[in-house]
Amino acid sequence: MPSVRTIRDWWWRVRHREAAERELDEELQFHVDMHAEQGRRLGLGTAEARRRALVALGGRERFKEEMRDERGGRWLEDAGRDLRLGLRALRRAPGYAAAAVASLALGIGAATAVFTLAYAVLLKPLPYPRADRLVAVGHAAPGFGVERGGLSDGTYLHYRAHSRTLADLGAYLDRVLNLTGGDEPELVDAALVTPNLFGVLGARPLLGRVFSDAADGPGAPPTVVLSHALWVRRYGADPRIVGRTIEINRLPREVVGVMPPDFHFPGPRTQLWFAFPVEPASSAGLRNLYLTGVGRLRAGVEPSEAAAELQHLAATLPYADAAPERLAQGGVQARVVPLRKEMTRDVRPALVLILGTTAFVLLVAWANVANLALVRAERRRREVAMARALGAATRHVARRALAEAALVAAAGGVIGLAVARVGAGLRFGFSAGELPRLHELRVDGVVLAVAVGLTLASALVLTAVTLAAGHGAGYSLLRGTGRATAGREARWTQRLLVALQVALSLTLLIGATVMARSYRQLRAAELGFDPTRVLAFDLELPFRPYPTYRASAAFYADVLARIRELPGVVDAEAADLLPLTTLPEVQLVAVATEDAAPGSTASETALGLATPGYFAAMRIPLLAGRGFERADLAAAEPGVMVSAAFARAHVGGTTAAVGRRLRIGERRAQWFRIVGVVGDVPGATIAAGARRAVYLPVLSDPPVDSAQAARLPLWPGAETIVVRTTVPPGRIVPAVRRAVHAVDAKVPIARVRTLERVVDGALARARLVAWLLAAAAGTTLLLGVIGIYGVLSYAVSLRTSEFGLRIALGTPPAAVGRMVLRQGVAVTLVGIVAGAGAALALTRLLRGLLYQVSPHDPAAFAAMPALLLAVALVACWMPARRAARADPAAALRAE
Amino acid sequence: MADRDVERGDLLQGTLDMLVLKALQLAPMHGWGITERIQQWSRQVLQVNQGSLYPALRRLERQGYITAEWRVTENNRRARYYQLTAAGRRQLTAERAHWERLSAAVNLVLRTAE
Repeated sequence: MPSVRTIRDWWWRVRHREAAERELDEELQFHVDMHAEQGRRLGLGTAEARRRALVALGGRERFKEEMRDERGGRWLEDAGRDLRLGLRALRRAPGYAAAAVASLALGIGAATAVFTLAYAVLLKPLPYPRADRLVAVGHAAPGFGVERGGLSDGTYLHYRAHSRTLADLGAYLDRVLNLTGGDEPELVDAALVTPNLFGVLGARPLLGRVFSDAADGPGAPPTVVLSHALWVRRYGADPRIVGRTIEINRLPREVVGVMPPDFHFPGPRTQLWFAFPVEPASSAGLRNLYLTGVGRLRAGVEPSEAAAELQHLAATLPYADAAPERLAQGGVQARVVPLRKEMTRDVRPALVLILGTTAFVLLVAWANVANLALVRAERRRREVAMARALGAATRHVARRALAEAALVAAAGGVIGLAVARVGAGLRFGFSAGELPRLHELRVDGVVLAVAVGLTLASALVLTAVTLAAGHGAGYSLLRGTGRATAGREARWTQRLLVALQVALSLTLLIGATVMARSYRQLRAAELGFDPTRVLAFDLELPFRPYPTYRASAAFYADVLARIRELPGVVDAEAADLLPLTTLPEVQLVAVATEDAAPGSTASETALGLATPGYFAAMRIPLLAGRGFERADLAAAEPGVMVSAAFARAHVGGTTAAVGRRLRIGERRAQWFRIVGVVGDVPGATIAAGARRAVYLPVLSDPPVDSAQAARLPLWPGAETIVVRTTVPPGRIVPAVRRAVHAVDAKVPIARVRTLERVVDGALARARLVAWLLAAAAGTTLLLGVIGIYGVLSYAVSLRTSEFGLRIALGTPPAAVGRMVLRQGVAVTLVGIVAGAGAALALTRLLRGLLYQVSPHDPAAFAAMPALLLAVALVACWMPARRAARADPAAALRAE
Repeated sequence: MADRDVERGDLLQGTLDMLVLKALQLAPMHGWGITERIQQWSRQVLQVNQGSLYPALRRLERQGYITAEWRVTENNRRARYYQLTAAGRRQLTAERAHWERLSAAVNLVLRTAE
């Protein structure tokens, strides 16, 4: 380590470099003068004395160099000089500099940006202490139609009491709650959490306290913890909020704490938390796995060990409905996975894919820069050879190359990082709900380190290529004709790099085409309804003023009647089974049809309500039977409508369905009769396909009496109002709000949206992946073409006189052109074959993201190589033409 | 650093450095004066090459054994004078001891060979 003194010394040297040089000269001059003086004293003539003194001194510059070397801080001075020289050299080659910097900026920028995203979402530890020990706990029960379920009351209590691998186990449940007691009622996303959950996470409050088993167990007074955002927005960051009582779903609750701004659990939109103590259960409730478990592993325990333990515990569940044969029937499996993984499970494949693509772009960018550097190095061979002949040591040459590479890489890195920062600022176009953990997205130390690492790696790649190309540039270059021909090795390296670029860009092109076709399929997919100019919003009726079917139905009838009278409104209807909506667990039921074998049920059927005009308003066609009628609920067997998908799956098709009977829910005796079949609409996502749905009517005239209502599995409560308009739907929102509040001012309006936006949102992820792949593929194609063109142009420029000679000796110019073309095409073909192979592997990875497109889509695999070949031909054509035009006379004169 | 040089037994360089330090032991002196002094003291046997002397002076300066300053000579010319530091004195003592041990050892070997 240099001491402080040395560093100060270096600094001084660098600052006073010129003064130091002057001193050096003066000191040597003094020496020579003294020597000459001595000579004169010994009787030599002045001139002779001086000559001898100078001879004695020897090669003055050489040992001045040595003196400089002995002086400290030499390398710093040299680095400065090398950088200055590098800058000058780059300024003399603006084309090379621009192309290299742009390639690296593109590669580093893309890689850093995507890494920023992937790191925040997938890799960064969750913001809790010892977050690596947090696990999601739940079950899979394929036998009951549950792929990824949580915990039931019974399993939660049993596991929490007996697990030795888990330090503690909490659980939560997402809910939408109605905040009342202010000017404007509002629906907020909330989580019902077991009192110990904050403790499991290790989260601390900003104000007041979090829940605890002691204070918030069963029977304790109702309490609530607020999010920072809600506290600031609705309560003006009131520091005395703790202890105050607020009204939620029209019931008073005491605020006991406020969480800090960076606490978002389970999601960024969660605004408040209820204590939800799980009370001793009477059954394991293996089908009612409604709680999401969050556990903290004991030190040194792996998730798989915890899963094994819970699996073992499941066999000892002390409930009648959890007998071994029942567990076996449901195929019940305990699931314990790291919480971070579980939270990002849905987006992981897409993000990993994008990350991989970016690596491709970076590789192609490097290949391109390497190629540019090779061409440049070839041009500078003579310069380097000259420098060496004049005594430059290998390390000097290497240092110069490194300095130049560092400049190029640094410029690329800075621009790339700027690109990544802008991208992170815009959250890469995602909105809060689309990606988990998006609020944690920022360019932090880790991202910075990655960008710097990529920049350093780029500089090293560039230096290595330059040196490898310059290696062996011997003195021979200085002799003879002075023609610098490309080394055989360098030319092979160039071709290899071009083939690599072609291969990588073909891989991406095919991947992008397959994704784009999948996206087009999604877009063109039969939606089954018309989303144009439809406004939708949610209402949630509290139970207290609307305790009966009749009261709720009357409320909705009144609201809809008022909205229908507004100018610009065509239709207004209510339903709770909208397309492209994730349904709450309670709306997924088992349905038994009349002649189904006992025990076999149509599980996971979506059950919802709709006003009679809903289907017409949504433009969902009636395929068979009739729509709802006034008397449908008064009938002994109330009328229901089903979707075509349900009819096909369970009652023998659309026409056969009408008139058939079905039972809804387990162990329910009431029969319902199918009166009509409507067209299919997609479920939670377009790719998920049509929903198997059973619709119950919302009827208010004649009023449904309590005996009739008691037979129904579902009453109107939380409904979505859809309003079809002739004007832009956003314009009627204030009028609609007034209409709702004219009926009941305490009912909040939530999630106002247009169905067009909903459809857009459903396509967002597919669109994003398709776009990113297309952008990456386009970039690599462009870089690849530049690579082909650059290498061929350079090859031609070196062989111009050879081509001239050939033409002079009788080869037709066209044949010379064809020769060059062949060379380019051969390299491209090698790349295409390799790329097609790699694309097969890539598209297989894409399989999970594709919709109605084969991963081996023949169109993509045929069209893209053809496109690439065509583009490569164009890139080859110009150098080929130049070769064909080589002037034979000039060539002869030169030889 | 200096220790390593000595241990390496780099006779030429180590010796020159030691001789320079010795030449500066009595009074500060410029480069030319150091050449002269070493020549005189060695009765013209040791010819100090300027090409080695000045880099050696820079090296000793960097190692902190000598300091330099510009002064005026008796003939009224500006010259760079070098002066021994405390560390330089210690180094001289150490190198001298090392040298004596080394030359004694060499002599011993030579005599035995006879």
